[in-house]
Amino acid sequence: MTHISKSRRRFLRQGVAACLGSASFAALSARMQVAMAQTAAADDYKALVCIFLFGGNDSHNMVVPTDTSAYNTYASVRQNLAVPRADLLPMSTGSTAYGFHPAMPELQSLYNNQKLAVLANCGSLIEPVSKSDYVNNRSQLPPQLFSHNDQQTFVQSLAEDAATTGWAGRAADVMRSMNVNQQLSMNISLSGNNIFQSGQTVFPYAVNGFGVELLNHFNENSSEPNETTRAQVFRTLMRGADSHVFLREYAGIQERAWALASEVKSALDQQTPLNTRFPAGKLGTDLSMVAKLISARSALDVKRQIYFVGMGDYDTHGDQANRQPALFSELSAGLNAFQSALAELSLTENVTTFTMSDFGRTLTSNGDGTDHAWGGHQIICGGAVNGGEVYGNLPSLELNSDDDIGEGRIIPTTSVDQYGATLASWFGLPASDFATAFPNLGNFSDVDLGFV
Amino acid sequence: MLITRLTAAALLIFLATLSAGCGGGGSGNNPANPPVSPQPEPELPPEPDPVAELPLSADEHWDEAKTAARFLQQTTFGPTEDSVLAVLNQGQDDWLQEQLNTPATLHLPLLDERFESLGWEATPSPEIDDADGYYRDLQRSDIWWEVVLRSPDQLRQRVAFALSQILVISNVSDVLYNDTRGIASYQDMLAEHAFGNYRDLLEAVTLHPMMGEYLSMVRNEKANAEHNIRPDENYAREVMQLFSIGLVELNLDGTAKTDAQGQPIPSYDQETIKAFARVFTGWNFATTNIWWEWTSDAIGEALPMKAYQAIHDTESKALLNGTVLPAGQTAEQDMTGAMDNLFNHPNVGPFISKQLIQRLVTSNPSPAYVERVASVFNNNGFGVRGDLQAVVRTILTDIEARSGHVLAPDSFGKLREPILQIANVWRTFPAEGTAVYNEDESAVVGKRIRYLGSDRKLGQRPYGSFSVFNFYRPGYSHPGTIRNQNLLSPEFQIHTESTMVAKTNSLTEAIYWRDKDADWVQAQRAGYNWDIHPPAIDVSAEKSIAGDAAALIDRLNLLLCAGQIPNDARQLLIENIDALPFGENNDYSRMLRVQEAAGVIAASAYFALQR
Repeated sequence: MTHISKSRRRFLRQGVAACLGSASFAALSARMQVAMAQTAAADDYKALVCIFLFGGNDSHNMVVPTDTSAYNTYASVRQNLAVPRADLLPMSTGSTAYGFHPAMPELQSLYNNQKLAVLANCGSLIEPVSKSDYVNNRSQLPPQLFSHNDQQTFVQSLAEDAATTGWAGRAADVMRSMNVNQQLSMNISLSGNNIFQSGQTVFPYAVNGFGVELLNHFNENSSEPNETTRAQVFRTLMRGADSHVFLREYAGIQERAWALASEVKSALDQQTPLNTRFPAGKLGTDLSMVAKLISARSALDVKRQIYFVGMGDYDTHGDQANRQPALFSELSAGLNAFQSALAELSLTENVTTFTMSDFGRTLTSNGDGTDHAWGGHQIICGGAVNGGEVYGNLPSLELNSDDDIGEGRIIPTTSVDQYGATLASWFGLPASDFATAFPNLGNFSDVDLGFV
Repeated sequence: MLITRLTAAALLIFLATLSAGCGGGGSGNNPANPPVSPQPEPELPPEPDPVAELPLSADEHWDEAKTAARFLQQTTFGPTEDSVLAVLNQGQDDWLQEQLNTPATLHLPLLDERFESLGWEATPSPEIDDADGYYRDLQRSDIWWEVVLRSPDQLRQRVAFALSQILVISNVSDVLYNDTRGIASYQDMLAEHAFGNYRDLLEAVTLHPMMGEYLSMVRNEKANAEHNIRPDENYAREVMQLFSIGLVELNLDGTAKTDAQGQPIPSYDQETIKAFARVFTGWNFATTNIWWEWTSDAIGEALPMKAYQAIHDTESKALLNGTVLPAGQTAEQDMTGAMDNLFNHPNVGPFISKQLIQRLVTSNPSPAYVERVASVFNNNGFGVRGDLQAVVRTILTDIEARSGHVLAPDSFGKLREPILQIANVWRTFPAEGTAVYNEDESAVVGKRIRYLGSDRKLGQRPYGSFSVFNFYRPGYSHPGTIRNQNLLSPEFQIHTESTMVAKTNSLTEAIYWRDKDADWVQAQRAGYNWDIHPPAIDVSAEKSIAGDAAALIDRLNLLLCAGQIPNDARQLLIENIDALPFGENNDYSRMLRVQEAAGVIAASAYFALQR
């Protein structure tokens, strides 16, 4: 199974790469059909699940060098933030001597079983940047580097200014027709409104981890005549909203929420409960809800979905030594439970989960934490992932190296455009739409990083 | 964008109204309105009879009542019968001045009192354990709700709530866990400075240990090159980005300045952040005796932080606009210099003014409106910069605040944040706290407004935003029609489908079967550890007119929607109530009519919008 799907992946990837040059959508689409026919998947379903680590993940402590000289550099730079070498969980495969943070045994195991890959030193870039470019103001840079909300916006939207859509939204704009259900958005958020999933025509549908709540007191099919009348009055008020823009929009969201709540809840209620137990906490709760929604894909009549799950508190300016293990442990256990749930649904090959974050953090300590920086490592997980390998380039951890613009702020060597494009090509975004979805991709030579 | 041109006539009428309001006295306390020099007594018109009852749509004072209710949506946590009558009878300007003169209702003394009434030490030492911390925070939250629903300093609390969404701290993350007294004290600081000077507020916020903990300035040390340790940049960055000047240079009207290439001009860079980071070194909890002592006790969390000179970076520091703090200054001297430097940056006026307008009045103030307010921020007319009392008065009396709904009927106003919506319900139908029982359920410990769990039920909780970036961004523009019209809509950011359902349910739950006179409500009890339970409500005034469907709908329209429900919707609501059975002596039939009418209105978009 793994073998077949890997060859299919490679085939598709080559197809995408070939087509990007010629921009031949027809060719790609024909190849895709062939590829799909070849694998004859019982379940032609794919989902991307983004876990957004809000605040800026200090990934220099998530993936740490283990060979003596590199570790010593790491330890001397990071000082009181350094993870003891003996505690690191080594990566047994791959070409680099690195280990995971000790709070992440599940990540280690997924990685060693080729289900998880690391993308090293990825970050927001418009074009490749060298240290001398940066120092001499020679390159075009994303706006307001190191600022939380601006960088959250950039990594989600990849737009330089006045961003209004994200790459998942733009992908959904062109792929939404694959879903028979056109009422439910292709993009579902467990963390509210976000730019990542907003397109021109597709906007995220937000649910919360505790399930879908129905509107009380407004059941149009109630056996209580008062309630049915009330529901009709309510709907009439909604539809008759006067011409104020906010009023109409509010009524529109409310009416959509009213309809979708019943539809989604009834689809969820038809599913057999999953046996997988998710860890306590927001991430576990949210991922458990994602798994439930995925289990209801047939009832919901959808073939492509993009999920957005936020996890907060990564802004570890202070008390990092205590806060980081808890964050990493929750992330590792949550991801692992999610993979178990997908295995239960026989969908490990169909769902790819990946992390994003505002930015990486400084290598140097501010006393008991780290500050906003730039490049950072991301993880990608799932049956389709070419796991057990570190992709991209691991940076030097020396202070003032060519990778460091100061205080251990590392210049990314892989862009978010490349990262997203690799995921989107697995997801099946037509080649002709890459330029729209990933506006800066043309500035980079490698458009498929090969991790999935 | 809404009102770039005002007709000269409108402006003249407006100015005449304003000066009439100012000359009337009652505003002597404020430097913006000094006592006028002695003049001959003008001939006063006879005093009109006071309005004694809430006007209905056929009454002569209906339009004035709508104006008053609309004003109260902007200035309080929701109109009530009494407040509408007060504005009608006192006049808007006198009412406003009275509010500006009303002292703050402070949380911390109430909280300590409540701790004592429960037999708990107010300031335990050593610090209490986690479970106790949660019960303590329940008490703090109860007080927050009881104050905003009942306190006389409504405008001050409303402005403090607005400030709490600009100068954000939150106990969502673990950082402020167990800091109940600290958060109460932070709230009091905002309320006390709400009509003070922004310079003082900015320094009070900077030195407040809750901000110190939240943005990790507390215990921030000067650099230690040997250990690659350098000062923490967290507060340095956010005090500029969020609390004072913002990311880019602004015109007085709040729009971004641009360079020759048409690009916005960053207002600071990483070097500025590093310099401010060095300013903010050497501060620790007031109750520490030595730097390394770890105390975060209930006393220290409510006192301004204190300086340790040996830990403070004493090198010189290049701040904004060419200001350099000389080497060798104390932590306090650097603090003063840095606060002055930030406060005097030309961005502060437009940056803070626009956000206060968005919180109180409208999501999309015209640049001219922002400029009028920012000008007063820069100079209150007596050479004082940062006078928040003058700023708040200008925001609320501006022609755009008063007439925006007429001038730009399709876009003026704001979606009310969920907390303001439910507070309006509980003020209009005075909320009676839920009986909270003690641990063994043996006795009622008090009737409380128990709503700490409002993030689950409404998608918003006071001091509970996800990050320092507040519940929503001031620049958020909801995708679709709103964005296509280039409008901002901050509160829409948290009005997703799931919060829409939960919040609509919470609003109807607050009304259906909550009549305090009904025996089933009396039977409700909330366990000591419950974080949420809707209170009972007093709808006796509404029940008394329930036989007249039109009167009932008018009253609800006035108090919940500032009389802005359009006529066809009003007719529909009246017909719906008229169709319900009614018995003159049947209290149940009255209660049913009230809850049918109020429930549908509160669930509707008309109630959600403030315009």
